[in-house]
Amino acid sequence: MKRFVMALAAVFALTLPLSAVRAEEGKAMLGKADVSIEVKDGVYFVTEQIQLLHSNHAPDGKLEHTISKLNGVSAENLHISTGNEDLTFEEQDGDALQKVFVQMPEAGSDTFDYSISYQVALPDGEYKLPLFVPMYAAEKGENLVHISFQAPEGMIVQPNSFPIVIENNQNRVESHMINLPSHVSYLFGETAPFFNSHTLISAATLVILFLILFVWARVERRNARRGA
Amino acid sequence: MFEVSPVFYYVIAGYFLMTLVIGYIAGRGNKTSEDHLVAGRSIGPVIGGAALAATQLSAGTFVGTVGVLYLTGASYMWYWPGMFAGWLVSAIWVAPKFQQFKGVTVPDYIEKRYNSKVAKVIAAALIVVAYTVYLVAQYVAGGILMETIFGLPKIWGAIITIGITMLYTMKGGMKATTYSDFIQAIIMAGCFFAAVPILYSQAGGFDYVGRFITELQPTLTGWHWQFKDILGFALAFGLSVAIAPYELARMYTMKSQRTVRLAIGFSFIFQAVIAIAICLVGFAMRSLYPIMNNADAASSIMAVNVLPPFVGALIVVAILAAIMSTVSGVMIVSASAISHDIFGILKPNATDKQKMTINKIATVVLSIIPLIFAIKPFDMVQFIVIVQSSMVASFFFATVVIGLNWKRATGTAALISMLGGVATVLIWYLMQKPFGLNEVIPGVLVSTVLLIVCSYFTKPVPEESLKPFFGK
Repeated sequence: MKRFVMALAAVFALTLPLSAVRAEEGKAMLGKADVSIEVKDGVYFVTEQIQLLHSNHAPDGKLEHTISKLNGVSAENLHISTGNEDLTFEEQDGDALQKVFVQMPEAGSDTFDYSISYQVALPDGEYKLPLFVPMYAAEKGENLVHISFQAPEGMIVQPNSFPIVIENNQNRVESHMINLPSHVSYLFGETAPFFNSHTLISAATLVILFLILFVWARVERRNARRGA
Repeated sequence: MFEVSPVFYYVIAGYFLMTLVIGYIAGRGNKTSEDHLVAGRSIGPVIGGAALAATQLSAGTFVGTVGVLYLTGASYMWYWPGMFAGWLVSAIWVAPKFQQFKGVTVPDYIEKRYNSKVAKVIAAALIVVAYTVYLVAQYVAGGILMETIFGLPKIWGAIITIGITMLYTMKGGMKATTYSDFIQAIIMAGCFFAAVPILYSQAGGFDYVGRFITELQPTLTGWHWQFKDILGFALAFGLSVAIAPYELARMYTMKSQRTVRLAIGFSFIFQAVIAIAICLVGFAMRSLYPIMNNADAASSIMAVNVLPPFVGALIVVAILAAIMSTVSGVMIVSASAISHDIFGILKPNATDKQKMTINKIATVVLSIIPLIFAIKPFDMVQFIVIVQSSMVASFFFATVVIGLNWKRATGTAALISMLGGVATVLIWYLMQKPFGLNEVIPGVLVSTVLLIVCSYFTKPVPEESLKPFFGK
């Protein structure tokens, strides 16, 4: 009866156009997010350009965001603005995450563009960089989120980063995604060694799978001989 | 559409090729319809257990359940004990007797136990209708997955996934289905479990993920669902799994009663590994992506954005495997209901070869019909997709569980019970589930009461019919 859940999923899919229309009418949604990250002297400079659709539906004109406090790291010099106007915000501090409520201007349009910029200093050997996440689902199942990361000069981004990096040996990488992650972890170094955590895990997975198949094939052959 | 590494294409193409090779090799040994439909009753406990698990775990587990866990949190896990209870019922009171009976299809059991050809045909017809329409859900899931990962139009995604499943099922029959299920179960359990350490390493560790999701939404680690909801899920899962015809048909394929019990034990292990893994996946994904436009995409996003490309590709294979193993299990049960049960009654002197030919034609036709429904869904299809599992449980639960363990159950009472159970499900659903109870609960309750009460007022079945199940 996992099939029950599947059935619900199927009906959801079959009635998707209807539910999508309803969502568009009644909820603020993420239109797009463009995140740019640069590292200079161990400090990460982050700028998030965000577009919200149907933003007038946000209760009291307050836009909810979360930012994780992974490894106790926090954002400094936080600046939130729309056009040339600075926006006020309230912070709600927690143990593992911080909630930030951004106040929209009163006479806002239905589509609201704003920018969040901040800096994060990460300790040596630490790459997990928290991002501000507007708590509004993306409007469509398309790659509305774009993240660009520029490693320090002379460094290349490693393939075992998060989000996964497809291009090899690049100083600057770009990711196109459907949803905004709570953090990114772009590992970088002077070289990209072939043996990293991902290649080792992949190799181990492959070996284990082949081992199981090999043992199974042997057992089947032995049973077949016995039967014959 | 995601940006995916070329590794995804190679791994998935390799997997499709492997299933076709298994189908071809397994099919070479099939000489009779018994070889084709029950794998010559040659399946051992490990392969059998993996096949039971793989058939039970569908796209619903890796797409729908991960999505529900992502959205609602840990309390949804409490449906698993209900499903495990269903397996226990099967291991103790149902499966060993089914194996001992050595039939070919579930309607075979209905006919023999209740001495009624009418009941057999009705059971076969219900299986064909309910399962054919149920496949629509799997087709939609396959289409969505291929579209999301590779950007293929949904229809082509469905055609490729189902076409390959149809080919190996048609060529290799139950043996190919069981062997590919074994591989699929290994991939499903192995990859989802292997994904967990990588996922948690990226998400910041178990402790951090726990604290993050609790602060994000306290019900994720508390109680999102009420007791009534959880009871409904658990009963719905448990009642269905105990007598699901696509699982019962697997019992005929196994060597002995001991094999059946051991297989259910192994299937427990596979399912427990997957249950834990998908719960952890749901949590970690919530921590990595606090909000998603579609929670059902959590597994795909994990595969593409978080995991190494090879492991990610295997996760996509695991989801495809879940779809394909369920589709092949359902296809073989539905096709045998036509070739063995309905055609067998209509043409009692049909040769084995004729039945095999009808079976292959039925497999093709039953593969195409859901595709048409998937392209052009209409209200009745959606309705049956929702209630088919409840209908099947209400139809078979009492007649199988009580019929195998209580001599007094009669053929007339079985017919009344089956039809009464299905009618109750339909009425309950149309009444918008009074008291918030899942329709399977009143359905099974009514069919059980009808079977017991009506058995006291109707003619008992002949001793001859009871012998295979109760001995002398």
